[in-house]
Amino acid sequence: MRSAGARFRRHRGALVGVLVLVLVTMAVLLGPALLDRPPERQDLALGPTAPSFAHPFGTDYEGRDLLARVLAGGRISLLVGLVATLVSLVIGVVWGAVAGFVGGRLDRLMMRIVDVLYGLPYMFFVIILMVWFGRSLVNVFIGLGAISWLTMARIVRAEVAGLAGRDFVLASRLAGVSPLGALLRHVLPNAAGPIIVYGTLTVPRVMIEESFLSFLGLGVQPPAASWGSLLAEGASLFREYPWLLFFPALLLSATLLALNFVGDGLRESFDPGEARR
Amino acid sequence: MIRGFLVRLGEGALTLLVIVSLSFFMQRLAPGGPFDHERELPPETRRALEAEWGLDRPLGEQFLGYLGGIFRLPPDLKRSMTRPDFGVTELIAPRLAVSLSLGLVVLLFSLVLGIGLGALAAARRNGFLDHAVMALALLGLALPNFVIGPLLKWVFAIELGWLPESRWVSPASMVLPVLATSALYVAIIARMVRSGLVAALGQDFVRAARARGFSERRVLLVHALPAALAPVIAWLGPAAAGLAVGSVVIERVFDIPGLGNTLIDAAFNRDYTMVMGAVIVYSAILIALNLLADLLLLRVDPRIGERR
Repeated sequence: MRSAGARFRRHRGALVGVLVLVLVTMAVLLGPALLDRPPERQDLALGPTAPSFAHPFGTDYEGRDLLARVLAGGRISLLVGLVATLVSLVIGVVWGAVAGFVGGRLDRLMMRIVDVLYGLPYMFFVIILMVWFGRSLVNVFIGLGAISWLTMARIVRAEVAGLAGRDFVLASRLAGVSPLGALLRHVLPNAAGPIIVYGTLTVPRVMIEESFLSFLGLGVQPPAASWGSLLAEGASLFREYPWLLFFPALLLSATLLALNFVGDGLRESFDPGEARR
Repeated sequence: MIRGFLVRLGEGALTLLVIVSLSFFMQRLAPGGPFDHERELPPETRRALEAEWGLDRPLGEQFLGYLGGIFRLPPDLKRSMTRPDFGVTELIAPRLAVSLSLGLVVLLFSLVLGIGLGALAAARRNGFLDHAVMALALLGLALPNFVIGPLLKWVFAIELGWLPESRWVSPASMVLPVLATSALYVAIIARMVRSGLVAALGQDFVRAARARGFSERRVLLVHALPAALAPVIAWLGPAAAGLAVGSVVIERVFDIPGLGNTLIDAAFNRDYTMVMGAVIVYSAILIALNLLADLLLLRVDPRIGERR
């Protein structure tokens, strides 16, 4: 019986995924400092140029260096993915654990609240937020955070409700462990697998949602950029300037692929039944 | 079981009611309104407009009035505030029809292709075909539809000229949006079916079927597949609902007059009545399809009923 960590290390795809993620993260964190071109510096006389030695990813319509913009955009895209996932972890796990562990009427009430938020069209929610607070990145965080925890809460609730009635949990209660102690020490650790796996898969999902919002003009506002807003620009101009679509798409897809690989590897490590082929 | 279903139905109706109320008050309490244009209206015109729409009465009274309209048969969704010559119902109905037909085609296409590819990968597990199918599926997961959409449009409509570029004119204009939307769904279904089949193939009832001498194909398709489809059906509820109400992005890329953009446009124009109509249709479809998926799941896997 190997540990989940050992199984994960044997999963080659997942290791490649981790490597790609580390490389992308380092590139977007350190890249802009190493390039001496700020992403928002325009050069209208230059205009859009194909990739060259001076501009490896080419330049956009305003003559901005696409490499610098893709790296700066990556910061925002990764940040949105991480923050919304953390929100979904914290709220979703607490909400789902309380509902599943306490059960009864509170459980029904809490899960109905999840149903309501789930049924509310979230694009509408984001637009109303925008009307209230103006177009800003904060709205993207709130809007994505508000929906991303719902599925997590459902998963955690199902896991915790299933574990709460098991003998080892009852035994710990009989031995004098408080309900909270039993939840924290005995129930949640056993639900860690699904939580980690789903958390990993939340990152790419949220990143795609962010790019939807930016694509529709509801997310990151110019001159700031995210991979989504760069893709939106690229998609409208790619017949004349294909590199504007190609490079942001390449970076976003590589990151999403890597995250999915890592998620798959984690799932198979925590659920060996599925890995046994 | 029937009693359980009725309880779920009641809960669904209650959820819808809460969603409708929340949306009503959220958009009414937000600053601005349908009569805030670039050009400021004269105060008396504005007051007259607000009186005509009943916006000058207390909010609670307006809310009860709106609810009264919904519970009538047929429901009265009022007129659109930005296009007062039209009723909300008559504006939404044709767009809903477009989104529903597109969504249905995408769903059927994705189910057939996804289950087929997933079963193929499971049958040839760890072989070349398996790896090829799963690599394609990962690509489908990683490429957003607003990248796939313009690319398809470029290759098939502009360079090759085989299919109409956009506009909703003939059945042929459905092909590219269906392909662009399906990529993700095919990928998700194929992955779920493959992993479900691989898990089922290791179980006793499948081994028993093999031991009785059934062919491998029969064991896979007749004995293992139903068990592997349970997660697909559970996922199908929310997924089908998302399809039925239309993808905002695909509608933008291909100029499709669907439901997705109706809500966005109405919310931007602060067309109160249109927003409410779109929210009701959207949420009702979502809730109804989730209920339907639960029911289907009970038929496929009766054990789930006992666990509830």
